[in-house]
Amino acid sequence: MIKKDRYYTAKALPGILILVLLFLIPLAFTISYAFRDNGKALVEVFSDKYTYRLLAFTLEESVLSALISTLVAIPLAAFFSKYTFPGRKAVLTLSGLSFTIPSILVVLGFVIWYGNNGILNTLLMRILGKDYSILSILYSFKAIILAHVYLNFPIAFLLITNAWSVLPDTPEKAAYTLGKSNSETFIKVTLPRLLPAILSSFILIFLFCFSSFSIILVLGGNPSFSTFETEIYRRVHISVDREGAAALSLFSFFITGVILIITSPGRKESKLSRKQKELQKAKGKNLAAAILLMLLILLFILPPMLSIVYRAFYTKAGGFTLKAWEDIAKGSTGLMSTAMNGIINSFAIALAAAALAVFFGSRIAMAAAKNNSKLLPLLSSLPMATGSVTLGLGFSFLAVMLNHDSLLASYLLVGGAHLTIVLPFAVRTILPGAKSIPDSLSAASYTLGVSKGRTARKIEYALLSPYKKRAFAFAFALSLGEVNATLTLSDGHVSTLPILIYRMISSYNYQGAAALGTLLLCEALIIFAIGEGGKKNAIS
Amino acid sequence: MPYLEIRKLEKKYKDFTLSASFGVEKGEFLCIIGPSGSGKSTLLSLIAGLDKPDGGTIILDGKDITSEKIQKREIGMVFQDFTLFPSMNVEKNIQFGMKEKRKSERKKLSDSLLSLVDLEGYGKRSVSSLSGGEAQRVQLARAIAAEPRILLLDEPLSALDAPLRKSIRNAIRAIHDSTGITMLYVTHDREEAFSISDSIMIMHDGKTVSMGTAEELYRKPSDLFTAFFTGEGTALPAHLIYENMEGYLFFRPENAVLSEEPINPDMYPMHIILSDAEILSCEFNGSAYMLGLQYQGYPMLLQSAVKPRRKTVSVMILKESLLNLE
Amino acid sequence: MKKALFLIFAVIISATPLMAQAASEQNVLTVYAYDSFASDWGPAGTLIPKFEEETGIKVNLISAGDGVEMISRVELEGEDTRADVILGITDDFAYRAYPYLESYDSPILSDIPDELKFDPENRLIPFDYGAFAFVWDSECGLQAPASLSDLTKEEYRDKVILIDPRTSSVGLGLLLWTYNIYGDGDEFEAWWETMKNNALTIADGWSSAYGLFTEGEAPIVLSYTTSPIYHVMNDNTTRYQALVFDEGHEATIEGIGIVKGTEMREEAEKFVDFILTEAQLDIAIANSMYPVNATLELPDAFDYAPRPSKLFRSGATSPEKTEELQAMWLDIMTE
Repeated sequence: MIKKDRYYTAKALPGILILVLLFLIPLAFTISYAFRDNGKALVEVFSDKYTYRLLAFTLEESVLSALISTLVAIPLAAFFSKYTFPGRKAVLTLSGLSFTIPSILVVLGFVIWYGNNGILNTLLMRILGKDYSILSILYSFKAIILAHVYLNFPIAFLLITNAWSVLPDTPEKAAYTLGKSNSETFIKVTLPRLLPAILSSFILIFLFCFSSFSIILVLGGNPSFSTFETEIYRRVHISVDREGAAALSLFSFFITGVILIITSPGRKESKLSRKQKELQKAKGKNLAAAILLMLLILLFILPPMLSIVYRAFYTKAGGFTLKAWEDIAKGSTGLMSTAMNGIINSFAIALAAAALAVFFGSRIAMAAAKNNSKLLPLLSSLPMATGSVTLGLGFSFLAVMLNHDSLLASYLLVGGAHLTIVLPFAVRTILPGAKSIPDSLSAASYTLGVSKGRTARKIEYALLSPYKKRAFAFAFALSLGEVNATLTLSDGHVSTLPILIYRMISSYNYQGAAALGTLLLCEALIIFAIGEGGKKNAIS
Repeated sequence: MPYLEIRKLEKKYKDFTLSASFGVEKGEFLCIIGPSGSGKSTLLSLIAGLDKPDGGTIILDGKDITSEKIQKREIGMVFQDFTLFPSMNVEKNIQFGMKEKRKSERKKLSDSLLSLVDLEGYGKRSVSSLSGGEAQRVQLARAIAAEPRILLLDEPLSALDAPLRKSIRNAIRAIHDSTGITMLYVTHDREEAFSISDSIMIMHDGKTVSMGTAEELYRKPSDLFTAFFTGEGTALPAHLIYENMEGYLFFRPENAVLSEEPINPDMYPMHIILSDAEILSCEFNGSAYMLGLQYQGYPMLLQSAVKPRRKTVSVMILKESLLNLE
Repeated sequence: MKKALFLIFAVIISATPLMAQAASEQNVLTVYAYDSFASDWGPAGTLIPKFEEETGIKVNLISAGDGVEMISRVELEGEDTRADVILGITDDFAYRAYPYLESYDSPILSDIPDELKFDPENRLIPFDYGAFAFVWDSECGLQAPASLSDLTKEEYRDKVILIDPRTSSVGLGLLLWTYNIYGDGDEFEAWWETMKNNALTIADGWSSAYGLFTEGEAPIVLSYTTSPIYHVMNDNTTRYQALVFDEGHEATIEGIGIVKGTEMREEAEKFVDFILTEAQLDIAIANSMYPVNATLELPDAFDYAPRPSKLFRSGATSPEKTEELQAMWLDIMTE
């Protein structure tokens, strides 16, 4: 109804400004390297066959990972958005945990659980009485997909469940009365309405996998499995070829950018209906199915994480030990202070980044929804389209430009960088909510003589609260696991738990790293539990 | 000078243009009716300020409010869809737009408004627990609570069933009479408009076609569209009856008399006689028979107290009840 | 309101660690080091306070990522750099750092063996070094390989964890090592061709490779000769042993240098000397490297870190050749 609403744009401006300062400027600086010497590096990248081989594999692995993740998520989401049962919320919460784990621990957790010598194989060998590994899962293409699905299917699961839970089921009922089967109804009636959520999670996962590389290398076990990110990393960290790295970044950014533009959510989301869909209580057969599904999900998501916890207390030989915890306490600056510092830093940064991401993200999402803008969500999605290596390079340019020498600046920069990294998730998660607010609701408030500000506060943002919660959890988890930006921008003065984990490992202490990983998981779990246990959302 | 004056208000869309000029007196209850797509809701949106006009002026109480912000117009609105705020309960919804600041007064006011709309004790209810009729009554109370100078109602009852519609529309009229608020009420239901309003404005294709009391519009419609929209009737090409007359001759079914015997026209100089009309259908509507006839290939509608036995009849119409319309 | 309170709370929480730590001061010696040096379990935690106490010079230690990121940073900052000293540039990247460094003929140089001094102008002075080696699990029931060629035997199929030279300096070390052993002939290609089968996986970095090894995924891993020290000192086991090959090992030497145009030359010299003397052991242990200072007595644990008799310096291979080898490697491995 009301086009080009400046009020909401103005509200979104601070968030946009942060993005420009902390993301676009460093990125522009990075990319400018690609054009040095008349774009020599760029020409090389575009004319190199290897670039296209990388592109082919990167697309293959990321499309496949995203496809499988969403395909796995849809039937689960169907069940979780229709029924309510004990444990439903807990499972939804737990599935977001994998987000927090830095990739090195994911690898470790996977090896401890799925490895040829891992727990799963050891158990199977004992049960079957064999003396060789039964399951050969790792070090192959399927291991890459397994790990990617493991890490990312929660995104699809949570986003699709969220969208589906508020989708009224009257059209489905209408289709049934017209004699349509369940499957036909799903494909022709439900799927089109779910498509925005499915597409959105697909793209998120796609982008994640597009820039994945350490998991691909270790678990793939073969150098032909290489993504753009591998090559960009090589140019940044091994051959110190900034021009080449920038050129390749630009190429990959171009691909992801185009994909983002093509798939940017332009269509109107279905508007909030008066009556929320009531979740049915699962009974009898459905309850059994619910328990089975929950078990399956937990069996998939928990073991690698629990493997890390297990390793924090048990050695490879199986002996119980608290040595790892003692090692943590032995930080050279004094008893426990290092680990404590890490815990507090991680917590504080993640809390601030997530709170601000939700704050700015909801404003950007509202502005985008009100103005029906495609540009705004796109702009805020860009950090996601930029791989972590490129992002890291950009941040190092930023660090050099600022050349600051204060701890406060370190913290602010790290916080800002985390914000930039998690903001896309917040915006993506909140946007469907913002779009589902009917124009007439705001119009009704205006005709009561209520100002835009008060309408936004009391009515619009209040309706966003379930979306904001989900966004907060995502953002918090993501920030908790962040390593690169923190290292680059803090001069090593800000130690978060993931950084401590890497440092532990670089001094051979894998068990200590597992102990720190356990702390990280606990921290995320506590925040998630508080978030879920909080006041029930107003539309209930 | 009318309280609300709309002067050459214009809004252009790709294949539709709204243009309206009319006035509403203070305390008047004006119904705006017209088929769907005639621009009724757009007109309300423009008046409320939800939409910007491309031209023309809106004057309220002698002041030009065309470019005034929505919030400053003090024009209330009741929407067709559910627009209660899900984040608040019924009472908070009603209090949301109140100018009164004191808490106890607000509470008193919302309570009295709730009883005005016949929903005592609903204050603490969550809005999603309300039925459709209740929700619309809360919307009404909420709009009135903001003390609007004019209240716009955009098909507020269209989603409700017939008996509920009747009771709520009576309530709306009663509220109008007790508060004296000027109301503009959009509906596509003629019967609703006739029963509730002081005056009626008819819209067609983005234009205001005619305006008057219900009786005026029924008895003396200024054009064919109004004539048909306000009730049933027959329009015959005028040249069928008067050789040099253009346009159509229109009459209501109750103004024609049926005769099964041939009639001598000289006996009835005040009437015109149409002989050899063929009866096509006959429906009993409770008080009389509604007959569908065909006369020289044109359909006619007329009312008869008795059921005719013959197929071919004569029809006589009082000349003065025939309207020559375009 | 609730939101605002929450935000304030979040900001206060974030600010707490700031208040706990002292603000930075003027007139301090700024040292760029790689992250593991500056780490809390790294040597800096005890060494820096010690140096500050002994000399009265304040040190601002800046962790600039890994060695390469450190060079990048110095290159980007150019003359504006705050660094007075950079610590941890390896010999293979030394050429990129030279333009930003000034020579320092430290009196300690005489205690450092000549074969470790890779810069004749002493802009970068070695402070520790390590040799890449395969570490193996002596309880795996296999014969210990005695040369790179042994590793290509059928019995080591899927038993070796390698590291990608595109993403890891350790991986790059092996690439140069094989080049130094096999040269430009077909043998180089043949070795890698066979290792495609014998490698269980080619990890992205040392961290994951060694993690896989300690989890028992394969009994042989590319690492350092010094790796067993950790297991002796912390797990009290000699099960994991470094394999020393007579044909020689690729070495990596880490250097420290004074940044050109520093206003604190005197303090910088003191710091370099400190690193070359008192700090040697702590650094060696923490980094799992050998100290360069020949006058030192090494702790017993170093008995399990056999020093190879023959070393190839990574810095001896030209950057162009390295680039070429990487391309060749990729071709061989992805065919």
